Amino acid sequence: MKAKLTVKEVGGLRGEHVYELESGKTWLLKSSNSGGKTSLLRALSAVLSVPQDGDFGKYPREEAIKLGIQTEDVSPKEGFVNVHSKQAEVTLEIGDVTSKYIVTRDGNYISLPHNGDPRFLLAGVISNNSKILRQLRNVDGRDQPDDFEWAVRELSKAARYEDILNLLKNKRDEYSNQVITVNRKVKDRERLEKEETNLIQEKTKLDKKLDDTKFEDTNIEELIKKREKLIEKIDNKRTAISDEETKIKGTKGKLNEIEKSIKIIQKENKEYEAELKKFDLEKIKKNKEKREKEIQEEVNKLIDERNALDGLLNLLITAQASMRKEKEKTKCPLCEDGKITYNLIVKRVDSLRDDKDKFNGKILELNTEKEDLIRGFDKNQKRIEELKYEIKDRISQEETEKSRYANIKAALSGCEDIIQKYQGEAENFNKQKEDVDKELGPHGDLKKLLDELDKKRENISEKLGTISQQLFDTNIELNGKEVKPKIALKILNLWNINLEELIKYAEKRADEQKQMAASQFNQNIKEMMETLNFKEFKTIKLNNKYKLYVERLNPKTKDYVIQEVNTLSTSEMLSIALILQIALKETYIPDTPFFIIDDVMEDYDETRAKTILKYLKNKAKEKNWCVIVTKLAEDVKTPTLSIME
Amino acid sequence: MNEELKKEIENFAGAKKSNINKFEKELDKVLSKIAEEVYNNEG
Repeated sequence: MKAKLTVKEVGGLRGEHVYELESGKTWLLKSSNSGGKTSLLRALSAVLSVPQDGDFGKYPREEAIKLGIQTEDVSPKEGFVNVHSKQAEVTLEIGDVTSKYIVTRDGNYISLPHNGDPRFLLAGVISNNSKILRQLRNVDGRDQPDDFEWAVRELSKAARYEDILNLLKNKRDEYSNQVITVNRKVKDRERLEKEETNLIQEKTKLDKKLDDTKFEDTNIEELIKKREKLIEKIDNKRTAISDEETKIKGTKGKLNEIEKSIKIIQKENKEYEAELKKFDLEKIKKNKEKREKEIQEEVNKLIDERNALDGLLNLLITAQASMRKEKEKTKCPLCEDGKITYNLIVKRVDSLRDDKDKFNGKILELNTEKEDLIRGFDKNQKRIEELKYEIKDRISQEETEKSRYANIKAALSGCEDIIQKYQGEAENFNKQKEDVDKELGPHGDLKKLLDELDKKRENISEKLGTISQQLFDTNIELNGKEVKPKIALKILNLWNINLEELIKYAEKRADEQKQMAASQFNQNIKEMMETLNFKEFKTIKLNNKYKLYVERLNPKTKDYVIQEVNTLSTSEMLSIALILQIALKETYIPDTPFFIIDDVMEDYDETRAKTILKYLKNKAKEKNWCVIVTKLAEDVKTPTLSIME
Repeated sequence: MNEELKKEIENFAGAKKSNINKFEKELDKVLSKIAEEVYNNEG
């Protein structure tokens, strides 16, 4: 595989730089300190790791920040984008596939790589800022140095199963809480239903008592029967009215909710409109342009002054260079009388350099202010668009809610009409009953008895109406429907049974993934240990709790002893870090053809460094990787790549 | 019904770019189906 990496304005590298690589080889990346080695490796790491949507997620995002691929949201992408530039570009061409990453200083992505895998940051790079070394050294002061659960969770599919688990557990908890409320309503309903049954029984008894009353006069008996039928009709109408009233109650509740929702929408819209009013984009634009012009003029002036100062500085540096070999002589080639001493020139050069730095600082400050102005203006423009969208959206929501309100109100009015109709009919039956009562006039005692019975029945009917409403109130809204609490309870219990089963499944799968990852990881470590022949260690592995277990040679007793990770020496930590890092790479991203070792090789002793490099060269050949190792070379100003012999 | 969801879990875990909202929608669909069955059986 041949690859071409092109970087433009990344970190310490100004302008465009092109590098060609070939897999199966180990490459040496050389430059002076702050010459741009790390910037180049950041660029490569970025194009290999930034995901297609630019979102690193929680864990790798933290790594991306530590490794300089991303910065905190509060500050621009300083550090990744060259300080003099507005954007950085990285292009990686592997065969016919080109992946491009372009990011501006304010963090907006112009182009994202197609095949970026965030795991590369955890598994493909070892540097003083990489996760493994930071953890072993406990740099962040929060990790347990031996806890490598992240290595089997975040890099394997276990993290995905755990995302599902969180979702399922949240739902289960929500439904379990609902079950408590529903249980209370079930009890309320049982009490009410019992009360209702008692009342119905009482009413039936009364009806029977009326039926059992015998009359000698046939005419009176007929009148009594007529009267009973009328009372039954009146009762039926009352029940129907009570049902309609219950419906109205429910509907009114919905209307109140809609009214509240409309008020909230209107309030939000007022706030958005008030915020929008505050923006006078034309004025903001004018002010911005005015200030930009002022800044530009000031910058031009400063550049002119700095250039003048540069001229003088160059002259003095030339003088200083020509006098350097003969410091004791005081003659300066720039002045006729030769009174200026070498020390005076050195002092003047230092002072001019300070002045130049001040000019550069001021120019940078002004340019930053200018960029902030542009960013601020863009932000305002974006906010205006957002506000317009929100206002339009709220207007549409309000219209929908109002139309819903009108439909429900129309249905309510229908119920009210029906009640009025039923009330008229009940009144009519009541008049007919009064006429019958008049006819029964002389039979006062019988009428009195019937009146008492009527009154009792009426009371019972009223009570039954109230209970019917109370029973309606025990209903629960579930899955978009009003249901009886017993049904709701049945549904919630079934949901929870299903959720529990899924939770167990996801837990099992997450565990399996972790165990598989740990086993593969340990196997890779074992193979590496055999090849590297690090005699001071007998075992390095993750135990069943994913803690790092190290058995190390005790030089005094010549026995192997268990060694706490936080008590390892610096060089032991480095050796273990490298072993773990290569094992991570082989376990999780074996197909990504790059492995980066930045700034750590110098920390190994010579013999160990040789062993490691030999191992890496073989690994690169065997796995067809491009292994890149950095090397400090003070005489190399711009990073260069060469095959390691 | 959980077999469908187990498949969805596997899809979520195996996809290159996973969307948990999509999984939640599928879960809600299945829960809604369970509720509908209870409504129908209980009248």
